[in-house]
Amino acid sequence: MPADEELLRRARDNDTNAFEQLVRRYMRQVYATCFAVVNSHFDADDAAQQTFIAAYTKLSTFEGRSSFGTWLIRIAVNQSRTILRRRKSRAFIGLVDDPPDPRPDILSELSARRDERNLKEAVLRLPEKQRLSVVLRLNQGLPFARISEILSISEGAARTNYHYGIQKIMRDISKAENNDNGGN
Amino acid sequence: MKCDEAKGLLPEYLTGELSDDQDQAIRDHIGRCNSCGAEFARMRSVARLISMGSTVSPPDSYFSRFPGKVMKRINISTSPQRRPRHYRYLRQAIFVSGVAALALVLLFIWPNDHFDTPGPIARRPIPTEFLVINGPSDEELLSLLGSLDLSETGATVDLLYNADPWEALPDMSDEELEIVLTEILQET
Repeated sequence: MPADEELLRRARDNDTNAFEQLVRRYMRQVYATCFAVVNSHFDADDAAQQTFIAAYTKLSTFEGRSSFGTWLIRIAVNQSRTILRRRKSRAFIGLVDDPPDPRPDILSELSARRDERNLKEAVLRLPEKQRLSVVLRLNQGLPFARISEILSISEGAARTNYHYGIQKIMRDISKAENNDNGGN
Repeated sequence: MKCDEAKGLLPEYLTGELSDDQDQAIRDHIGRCNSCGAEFARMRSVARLISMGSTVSPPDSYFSRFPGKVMKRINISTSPQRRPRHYRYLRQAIFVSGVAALALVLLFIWPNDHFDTPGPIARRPIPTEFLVINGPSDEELLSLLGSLDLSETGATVDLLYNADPWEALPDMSDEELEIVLTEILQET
């Protein structure tokens, strides 16, 4: 399997097949990151696609000071925040409602089991930085140094966000389980 | 180690962020304490679910289509209209020089009696304004050239008739293209 650097070199020479390999390599990480910010499949899909398009058009500006993955995830965070701002501003103005998610139950279908549903909801309730720190650390296995680069925060702050994020998830799951048990 | 302290360190224990001493202390504690042991087991199962992407990941069918969607949008955004500016100028230069060549052919090579009756060009004047400003689309170029008698103009027309110089002149450097253009102008 070619290394990122080799694929990048070829992509810069307009080899779109090489860039497509990079898309395949990073699409799950990018999607997970986008979803962690925007909380909607519709917007995450849009942000993930925009991320790769932006990366392709800016390939010449990538200097390799971070890894390509880190650079890409940072673009994903920025694209997602842009979409989130647009969504909030639309909601505030009230002229255009959020576009309906074409597959609103997509995650529910996958998370049929109750504990998974509770987990999903607990993750989505986290503040953005906590959510991203948890998802980037556990879902993508990134070290805190890279998470801090992506989120433009200190490494200590990334650790703190992860720590409180996990603890809040555990508390929320316990509460949800108690409610579920109380309802039965 | 007390339970509060142990539970406070579980997130870092989970991902192996603790020092060797702290790691060992937690391991000993959750081995003895049922409550903390159960808490850690739950946290580990949560982490496993998150690491498997079950909280944020759509089905594989979504990801099997994703690269195609992205590459289609990239190909559209980098279509010939958005190629580097000097390529567009070059394309226009090739076309304009071809039009000039045709004009020369008509003036000096075409027999004079051809002008007695309206020829193809007389029936269909070349809309120079759109050629100079934006250059024609491939369809316009083919349509225009197809309406003319091009038999006398040789290599220039062969080149132009391909309509897309990037297919007609594959992998040429700017210098090589300049040489080709010079040759075309000399031929005319």
